[in-house]
Amino acid sequence: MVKSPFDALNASDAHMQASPHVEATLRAEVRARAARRPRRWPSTALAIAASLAVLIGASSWLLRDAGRGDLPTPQGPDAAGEPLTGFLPLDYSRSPAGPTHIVRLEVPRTALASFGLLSMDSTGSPESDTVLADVIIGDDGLARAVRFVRPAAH
Amino acid sequence: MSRMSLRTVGAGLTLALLSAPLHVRAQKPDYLAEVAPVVRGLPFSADGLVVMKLTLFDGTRIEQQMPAKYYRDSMGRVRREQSIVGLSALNPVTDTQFMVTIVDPVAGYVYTIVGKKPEVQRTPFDRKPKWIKLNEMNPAVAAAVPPGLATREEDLGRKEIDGLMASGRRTTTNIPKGLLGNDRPMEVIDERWESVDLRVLILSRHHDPRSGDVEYRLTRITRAEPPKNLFFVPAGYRVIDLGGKLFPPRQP
Repeated sequence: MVKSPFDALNASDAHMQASPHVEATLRAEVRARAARRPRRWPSTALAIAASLAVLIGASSWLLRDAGRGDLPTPQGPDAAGEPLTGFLPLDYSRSPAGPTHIVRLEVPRTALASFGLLSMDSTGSPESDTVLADVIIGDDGLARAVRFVRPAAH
Repeated sequence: MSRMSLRTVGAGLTLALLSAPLHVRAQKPDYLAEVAPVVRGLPFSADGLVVMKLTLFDGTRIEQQMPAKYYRDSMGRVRREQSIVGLSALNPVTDTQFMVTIVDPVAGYVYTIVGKKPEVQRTPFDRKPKWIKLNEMNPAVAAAVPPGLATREEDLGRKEIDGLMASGRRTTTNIPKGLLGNDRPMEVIDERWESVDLRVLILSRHHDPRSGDVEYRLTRITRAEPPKNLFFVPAGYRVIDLGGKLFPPRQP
């Protein structure tokens, strides 16, 4: 039977401990690792936050610049609403047009995304599924360009 | 997310941020929005037809026809009943939208009724042409017809179409081999034929090998005074005054 010699060895080692130096080294290493681990999360979060800030800033800048290039700054709210973007080309934009006409349409809110416009809040009530768009139409009925419009304040 | 995919996303984000401002700055004043001339003393009524044809890669043929109407009275008022075509980027469910436009140079307004809503949009009638800058930031459209392509204009002279003498112009846009991954050059062709006498578009053709053909044609032209009520907003319609802000400013 081998059990009894092992029991004896176990009893004789029960009072033994690690040296103070080894214990101190181990504790220091555990503390250091514990301190290092959480730092990874703030750095990742910081990177994501910075990326988001840059993205939001760039989106706002793009919207502002797109709307500023060719449209007058509205003097105040009226029935016409405020253009949010410049005119963006549609499929037939390069097709030569004779006389043209601008019409205001209600289009699905998802249209904004298809033009890479990320900011949805400024285009009216977030509950609304539609947004306003001014569309340039040629005398042949083909749509040439579109701009998005903020609804008028009433 | 793996480290590699994070790197890919990061690189894509950086590229997008760097390239977007360049697209915005590339815009140029390249579109002249003209107003139809006021033609007095030449009244007529006509039917119109818009035909869209597309053949898919498997040979399936798609054809859509949309009727239209065109009226002009002796005072130069115009009424158009037609479908707007080419709205798929705005509404994937339907590419078209029916509307009625009344141009009334006598009253000084343009009225537009969209769909079946009992509402009419009213804007001032302005004869001055306007330059419109197209913002080329839309990558989908830039890919469809990249900006800066060479176009060729041709005077097609005159010919008779449905009993009317018409003058024509053709614009050809060349898409060189390889630009869109195409293994041979492609041509986008636009033709416009205007009646010399009536000073109105009577035939237009748009041909694009990628999206098919669109033809607009005026037919059954009757030279008689149309009923007066066609040029007035129907009773009971709510008038939405859009003022002058629908129009961009003139090019300095």
